[in-house]
Amino acid sequence: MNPSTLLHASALEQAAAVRNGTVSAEALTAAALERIAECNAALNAFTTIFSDRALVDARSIDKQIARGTNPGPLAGVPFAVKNLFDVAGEVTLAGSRINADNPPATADARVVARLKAAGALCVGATNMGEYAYDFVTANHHYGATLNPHAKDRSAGGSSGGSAAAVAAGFTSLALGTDTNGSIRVPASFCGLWGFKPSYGRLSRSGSFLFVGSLDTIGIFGRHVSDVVLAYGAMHGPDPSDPVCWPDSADETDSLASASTDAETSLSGVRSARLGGYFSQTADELIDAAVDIVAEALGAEPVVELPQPALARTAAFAITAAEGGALHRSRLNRRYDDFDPASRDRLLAGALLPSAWYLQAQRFRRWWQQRIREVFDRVDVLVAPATPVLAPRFADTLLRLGDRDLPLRPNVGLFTQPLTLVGLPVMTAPVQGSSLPTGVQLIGRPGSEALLLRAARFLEERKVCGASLVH
Amino acid sequence: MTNDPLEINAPAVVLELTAIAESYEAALVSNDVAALTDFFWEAPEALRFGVAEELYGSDAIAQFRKQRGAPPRERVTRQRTTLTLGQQLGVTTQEFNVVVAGPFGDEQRHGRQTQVWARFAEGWRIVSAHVSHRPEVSTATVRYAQAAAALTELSAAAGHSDAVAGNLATIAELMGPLMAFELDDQDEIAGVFRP
Repeated sequence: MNPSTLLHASALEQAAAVRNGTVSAEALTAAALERIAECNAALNAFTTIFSDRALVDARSIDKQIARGTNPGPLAGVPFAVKNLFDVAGEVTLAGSRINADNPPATADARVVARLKAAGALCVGATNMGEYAYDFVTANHHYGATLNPHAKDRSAGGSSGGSAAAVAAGFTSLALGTDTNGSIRVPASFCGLWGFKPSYGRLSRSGSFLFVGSLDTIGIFGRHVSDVVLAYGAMHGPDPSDPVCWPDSADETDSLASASTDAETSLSGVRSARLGGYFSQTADELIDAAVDIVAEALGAEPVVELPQPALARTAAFAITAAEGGALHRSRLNRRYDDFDPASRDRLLAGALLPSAWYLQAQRFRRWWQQRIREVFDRVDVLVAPATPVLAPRFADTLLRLGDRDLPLRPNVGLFTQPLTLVGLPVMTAPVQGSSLPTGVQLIGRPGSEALLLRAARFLEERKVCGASLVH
Repeated sequence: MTNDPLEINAPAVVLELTAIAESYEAALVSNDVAALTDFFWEAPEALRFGVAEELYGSDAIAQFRKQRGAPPRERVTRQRTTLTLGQQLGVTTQEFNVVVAGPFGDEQRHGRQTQVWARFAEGWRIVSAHVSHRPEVSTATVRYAQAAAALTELSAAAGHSDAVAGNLATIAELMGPLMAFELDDQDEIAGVFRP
């Protein structure tokens, strides 16, 4: 099989072809590297390419296959990581100029190591907003990442490089992180499946944090099967991450069944759509996308969450305080080397009164309890991922109803409240005539398997599907 | 009607109008009420929008001047422009710093002033004026930022206290409703939300 054709297939098909010898891991990796070399400059998705390392790892996969050993479910599948994940031997930039002076990482981040242990090959690190404090990946030091669908538009942020890499077919899978929407926003703008599991579900060990109380690792893919495979390979306890769930009993079983069902059934699954705060968007396509997903899932009831605006404020305050505290000493030492767009926000965060931070954290607890009550009655909630389609970089305003809001801080309007309490969310892509958009499928904590099943259901029925931009 | 093009910024006219605008500024800071009133066109169509008042007609403007107490404090011109359109019309603008009383003490403001002038038989008069202050962060917030930065040794904040205070003010505005939201004593911080 032609390796460059296979590059556009799913990770599931790629791994099968590598395992059965139709194509070598080395040839597939070389094809990915070639495509990146050819097309990356037009998008600025990658900041570093690991050519030599990836090819060495690929040959080792091919040797395992030659010996008759199964390298794993992701055998020979090239993947990309947001450049805040440690990759042994590489400097972890986290989108910054400052971290470029750090020594190379001595070990892979836990999730990178687990993907590699499943046979996958890391081909490069992707662009992001500096220290993940951005929704558009307009990086001051490394440039903006452009949307493969429309190169005058943002790929979303802060994991924009990872989303662009998958949408452009450089890789079938990429890792990102989501604090306030940094996976769901780029997934929406680039028309991909973007999976943010429950807070604490995937170990963050070896990834450069932003807001410890909210940071979650997640996956971009063009196929639900691939997200299932990657998630299955990465989850599990890890004592080196203080918030990582200590157990993962039954998870693997239910996930396995999610990927082997002949036809996915959602019988007995209660879905509803989020109303009120979540219902006002700036584009009819977004409303239509929510309508068709809600209809397919039978999400007729409309549920309103209590105090969603306060939830967003609480996430905002926690982000400011924890982000500022994290970067305190760097601000003192290297203020001038920070992105001018975020350094004064970080300074303000470092000085946030504790009364505000603690009120936000206590509100978080109150909101958890209210959300728990909602999920007593419902299993899946449906809401738009972003209030706008991918904006142009020059756009500054977002028109909601009769209000003009500053665009960039409000891109996360619908994502930010949900991360406050760490809910798992799958962003389901709906393709418009020119630009795609995403719909959030929101579950109770620990319901990853159910969300992946719902996503598969929508993919099988062609209600949702990711796009590949050649 | 003449078809001659309007002469923009004829040097003699610019000099003349700039000098008059400067004498208006001098009258303002010395609180020369009679002179200030006299600078405005005496007509019901004269207009002055102040920072906190809308005055329609020269009578309203004169009345306001008489009632007003102290002159603006430490008003310093940042930048000034003059535009003249022919011999009879001109626009002067001025950006200035000024100190105003805030709830926790004096506060610095950045102001803008625009005056439209016309030459009448009696000389140049203001026919329309508008004064505003940029929305500013309160001095209390700036002082908090400075004190908190000193106390926690956040040296990077020195020299950026206005920008930092601006960000704090934005968060403060957002936090208002959240701080007002009543929580039970039992609502303690909970880290991870699990099933």
